[in-house]
Amino acid sequence: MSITHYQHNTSTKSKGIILDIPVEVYTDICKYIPPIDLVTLSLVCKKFRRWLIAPSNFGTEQIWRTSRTNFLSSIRTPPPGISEQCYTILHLIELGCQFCGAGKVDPRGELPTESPVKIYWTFRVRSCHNCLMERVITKTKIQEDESVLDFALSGLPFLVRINRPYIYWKKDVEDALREFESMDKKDIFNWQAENLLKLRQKNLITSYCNNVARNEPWEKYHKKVKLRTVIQQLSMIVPNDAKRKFQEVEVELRRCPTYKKYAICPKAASAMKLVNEHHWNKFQEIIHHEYNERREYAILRARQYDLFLKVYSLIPSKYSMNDSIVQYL
Amino acid sequence: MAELKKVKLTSSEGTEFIVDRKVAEKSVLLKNMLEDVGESDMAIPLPNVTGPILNKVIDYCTHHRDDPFVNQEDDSKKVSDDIDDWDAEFCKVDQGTLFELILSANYLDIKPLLDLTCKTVANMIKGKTPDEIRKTFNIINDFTPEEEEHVRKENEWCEER
Repeated sequence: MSITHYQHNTSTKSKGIILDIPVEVYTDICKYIPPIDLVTLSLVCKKFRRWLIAPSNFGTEQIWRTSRTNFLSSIRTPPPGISEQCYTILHLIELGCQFCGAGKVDPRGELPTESPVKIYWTFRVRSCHNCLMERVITKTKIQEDESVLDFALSGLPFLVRINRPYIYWKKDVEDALREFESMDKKDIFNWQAENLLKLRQKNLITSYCNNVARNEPWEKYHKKVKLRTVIQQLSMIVPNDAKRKFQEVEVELRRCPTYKKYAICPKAASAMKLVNEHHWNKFQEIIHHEYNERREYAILRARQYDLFLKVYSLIPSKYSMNDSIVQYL
Repeated sequence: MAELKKVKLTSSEGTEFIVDRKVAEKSVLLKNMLEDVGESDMAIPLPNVTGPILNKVIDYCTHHRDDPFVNQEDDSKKVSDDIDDWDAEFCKVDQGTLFELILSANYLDIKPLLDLTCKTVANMIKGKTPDEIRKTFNIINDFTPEEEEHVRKENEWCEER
């Protein structure tokens, strides 16, 4: 079938040949595309979107699985019950808040300095704090309306916060209450039991995603290695006028403000997970630049000191250290 | 010897190509066919491949004739920047040809050629914005502005919530 399709196409040389390729070939191409670019691809046209987003479609799952294992090796296999595409796209914090876009990283732009979004697996959203707060409701707030029974909410996922009321996803609450209202009251226990079962399943997925989905030790190690490589590479190329040892040059490099910021300051350090290859190069450039600035400053200081010594040597010995002119120097 | 045997192939327009059997066997489809049919002077018709494309495919197979056969299930090498110079040069063709090559590689079942051409297309997609991708592949944006607004919100990805 695909073959007749293609012959027809070659004779017409119509626009957008890529749209006429059979799905299995499309799947082959997508294996070589990182998840972040798959998301971009899903925004190109409806056909791509259908291919990439289709829920519980084997081909779609396969594309995402291959892309994840090839390009995001620190992210572990999703637990059953959550689709590959949902799981992977939530992990892409470089896309920023899914509601307002805050914290979106330009893959070809400046070095990211902070990471304002978090993944809330309980609600399956990737959101900044403000957008989350707009879309959730506290238990206290729900209970203000006395006609609402706790019972109706028993199947809903909620987020536990220390010393604060639980929060529920607003839309979940509305849907559940509507369902509850419209239901034949004799089915209510079945309904609740079913929901509780679903909730248990959901909670299992959530706790897996919160705790084990990211291979954090690996990521930490990866970051350390990256930082070390940057310093090592720079120590080979930066001018070394004082004939220092490599280790000493490295110490100098580690003293650059940007390096210190990313290595120590927790806010910037958390943004490190948003850093791609392009950003790493940028990072290296910045450190290089800072090192040169520090070096020029050091040269200036050295020259000043030289000058000082020369002037000092001109001072006849009869002047004591207490003399005002010597003190000025 | 089997290695010196020639195989005749006919493209969709009826142009005849004579290649070494070893070259033809790069294609799993032809390999199986030749094994089934055995020795024969009959030309193998390839009604789905045009002459110029078949020519390119034969070029590729001739260049890679001595490459070891890669296991189909081996998915470990999925990075797309390990294309060597000859292959990169080979893929410098217009888009129509590139996609025809993909389809022919798919039809003839030549895994390394399929991988190469797919990688080339993947490299044309990576790191671009949706608009740049549309421009590259001549795709018309068929989202209405409202739909576009909606798709950016990522609401559909986790529908099963």
